[in-house]
Amino acid sequence: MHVQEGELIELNGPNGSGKTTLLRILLGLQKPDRGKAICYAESIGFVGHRPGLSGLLTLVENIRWNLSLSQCVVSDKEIRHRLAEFGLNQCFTVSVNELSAGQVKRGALCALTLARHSLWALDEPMASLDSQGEELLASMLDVHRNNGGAAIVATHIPIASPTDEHIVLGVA
Amino acid sequence: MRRFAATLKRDVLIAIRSGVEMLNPLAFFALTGVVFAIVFGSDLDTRQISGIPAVWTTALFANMLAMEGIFRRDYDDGTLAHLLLDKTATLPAICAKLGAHWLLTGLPIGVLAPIVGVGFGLPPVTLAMLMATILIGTPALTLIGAMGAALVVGLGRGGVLLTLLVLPLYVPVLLLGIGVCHQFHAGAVYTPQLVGLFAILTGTLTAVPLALGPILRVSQDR
Repeated sequence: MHVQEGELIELNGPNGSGKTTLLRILLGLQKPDRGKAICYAESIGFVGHRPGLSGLLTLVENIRWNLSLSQCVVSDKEIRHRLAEFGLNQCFTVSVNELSAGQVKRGALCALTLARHSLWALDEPMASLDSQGEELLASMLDVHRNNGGAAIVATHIPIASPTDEHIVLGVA
Repeated sequence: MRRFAATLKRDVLIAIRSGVEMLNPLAFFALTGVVFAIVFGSDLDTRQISGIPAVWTTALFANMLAMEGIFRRDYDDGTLAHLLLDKTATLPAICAKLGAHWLLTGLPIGVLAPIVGVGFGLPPVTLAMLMATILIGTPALTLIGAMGAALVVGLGRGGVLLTLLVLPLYVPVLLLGIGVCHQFHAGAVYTPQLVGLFAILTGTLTAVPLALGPILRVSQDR
């Protein structure tokens, strides 16, 4: 599977067709039953079913830790500014456990945009998002691709344009 | 270094915010130690002889009590996947998690040990040695326990399995720790046991952090 700069690959298929499994295999988080998967991406940002945010920390604290893992230097001011762009300006001092599922998803996506990874791997990114959140996701994907980034998105709700590559998985 | 410091700070912060959960092993250690001190009766010799193994065994189980949580929370909220995604971040982050775990369990248990040991009528020099051996032994217990915790992280509630996995590996640390204190208390040579304890610490300190990344990668694949 090749995904070039500015490209998006959408993994489609019904529930249980293996979209998440394929994505996790590509990321090296799961071993395939047969064969081998090697990912050559420079740096990967991942938002999966689980948000990757600790419930006992605030969004700012979580994002700060996430960024330090990927060796990115971003000021707290910039983090707060980006969170505000994601409609989370009321959530700076609130622990993640107290946020709604949609807010948590927005927080995870916000962390992804700040980390400047070349490849984004998104698993059902629209789950829990409202229509405004979906628009936000679409625009952040556009910005990422325009900046030379690439993305692999596992979803059962179409997000890519017809010109993007689609891989359709079926239930065995 | 930045990854290590950030993860250490994060884990300490999470432990502090978890409140009672952080205090459970310490409360267990202190209360069980007090109960042992009461049930061993008033004969000073019996209390002194039984006191060292009682404190050490209690320290071991208190450490084990906190062990399952070392990766569990990160697995549940998905941060473990982030930690494993970037292979260069895995080792410093794991080392920081181990360090935070010891700072929050092993270190306070070691500090509390002489206080609990007073209940057994142990002389101050023996109490100092008890504290020293626990401070040397608990990092090894954390490292050994982390291997077990990493193996069961994807299994839901793997507490019993974790105990079965790590308890046999804890025994040499326990025996050597007790051995050093007993020999020291009796005025006999304790160097061989102390060297053994340091050898286990050095071995686990060298090998376990490197092994944990691959173990976590395999065990969270469920």
